[in-house]
Amino acid sequence: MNNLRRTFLKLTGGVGALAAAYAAGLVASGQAWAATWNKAGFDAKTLADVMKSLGATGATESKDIIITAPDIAENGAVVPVAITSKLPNTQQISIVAEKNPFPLAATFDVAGGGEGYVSARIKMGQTSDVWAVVKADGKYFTARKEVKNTVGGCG
Amino acid sequence: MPTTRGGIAAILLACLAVWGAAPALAQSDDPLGVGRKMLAEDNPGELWIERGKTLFYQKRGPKNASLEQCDFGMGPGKLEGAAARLPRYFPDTDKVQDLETRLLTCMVQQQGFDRADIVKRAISPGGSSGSDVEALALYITSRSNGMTVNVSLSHQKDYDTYKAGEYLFFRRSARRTSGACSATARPTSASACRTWFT
Amino acid sequence: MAEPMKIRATLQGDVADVRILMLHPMETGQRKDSKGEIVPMHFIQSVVVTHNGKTVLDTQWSQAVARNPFLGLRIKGAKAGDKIGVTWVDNKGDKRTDEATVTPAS
Repeated sequence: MNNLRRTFLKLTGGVGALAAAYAAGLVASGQAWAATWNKAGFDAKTLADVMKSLGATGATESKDIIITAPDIAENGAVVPVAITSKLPNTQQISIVAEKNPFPLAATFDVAGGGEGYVSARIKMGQTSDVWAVVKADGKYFTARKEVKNTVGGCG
Repeated sequence: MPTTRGGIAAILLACLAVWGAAPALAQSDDPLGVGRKMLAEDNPGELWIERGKTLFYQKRGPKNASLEQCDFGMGPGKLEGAAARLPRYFPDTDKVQDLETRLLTCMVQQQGFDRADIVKRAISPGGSSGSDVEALALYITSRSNGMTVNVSLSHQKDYDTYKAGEYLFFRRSARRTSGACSATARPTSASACRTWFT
Repeated sequence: MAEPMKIRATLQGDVADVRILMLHPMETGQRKDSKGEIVPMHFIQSVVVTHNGKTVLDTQWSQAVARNPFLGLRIKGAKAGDKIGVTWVDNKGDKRTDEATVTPAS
């Protein structure tokens, strides 16, 4: 995660990074999100590069992260994925579809009262492991689950 | 290949009559069930249904009227269960009409819209956020959610249309490799059946 | 024009179960339209969820998030009547903010 944003969140005690950025006069309005969006991570083409961009290289597997997703996704354009993290002090959850051309699908910063739970729907190009990369108490953990893709429909 | 509304209504009538009375699809071993359950709630279609509801009750068109006087077969403005009984014969137009054509009739007669104009914009391009007609049709259909399809063939025109649709349905067409709509393994809706022919 | 979202926030104990539906094409920039031309990238890059004005979820999305995206989250320490705010911003700078109130479990 972008260190600048993390600093803002810590300093401002949970006030939105955007507001803090404006207040600090560091980002012009309308540009804020483009500046803090993890471009390196979203442009990464391999799981390893995604992990590197998140600062999560060497993360350990954890049974306290539960991935709820179908074993077989009927429609690769809409694959429901829910991540529950029971790790204390969960700060960030990322969803990574390993075989997607750009594996990092989403990153959720949950500091500030949000529970370690997110649910979203992603596109998957093919059968692949879906990884959850969780940052808790400053350390990184992972879990994964295979989601098969099938071609559905009539005829 | 039928391109007229009458032709489409015919096929629709046949499809619905054939499957409307069929028992609910049995799902024994269900590997796709988890995904479907997760997607069943919070469907983006809900947003269109809300948009359709807003459009239905809004005064619109040159006549600045809402669609509350539109009769879908259960009486003016009565939507509960109406879609489940369509297509059907309507005496005021002397035609068998499905949901969309009936909606069109009302938008033209009661709201004063230009028919050709609505038809042109009715089907939205892929990736767009949908047309008004689509939102309205979705809302009206949602008012029959969970109800059994209940298509009547009592009027002569209903029956004629049904027979025409039956013929077209089983006839092989060049559009798809498997040829006929009846070759579809498991049609999920009447509109899926209709798209084979349009 | 950004379309309104649908936000549902129901209380389960002292945790608000929040479900958000957004209307957005989430174009990957790889799809071709009916004329064979590439539809340019157009997707939500950030979604911020606030609880009584305080940010509780700050997300970054790629174009791999599904069209008409759904977002579900849970907020600890919520009460009926609390305000939930959701703002999304896409790669073209379009944005949308909607609000909802936490309702008690029915």
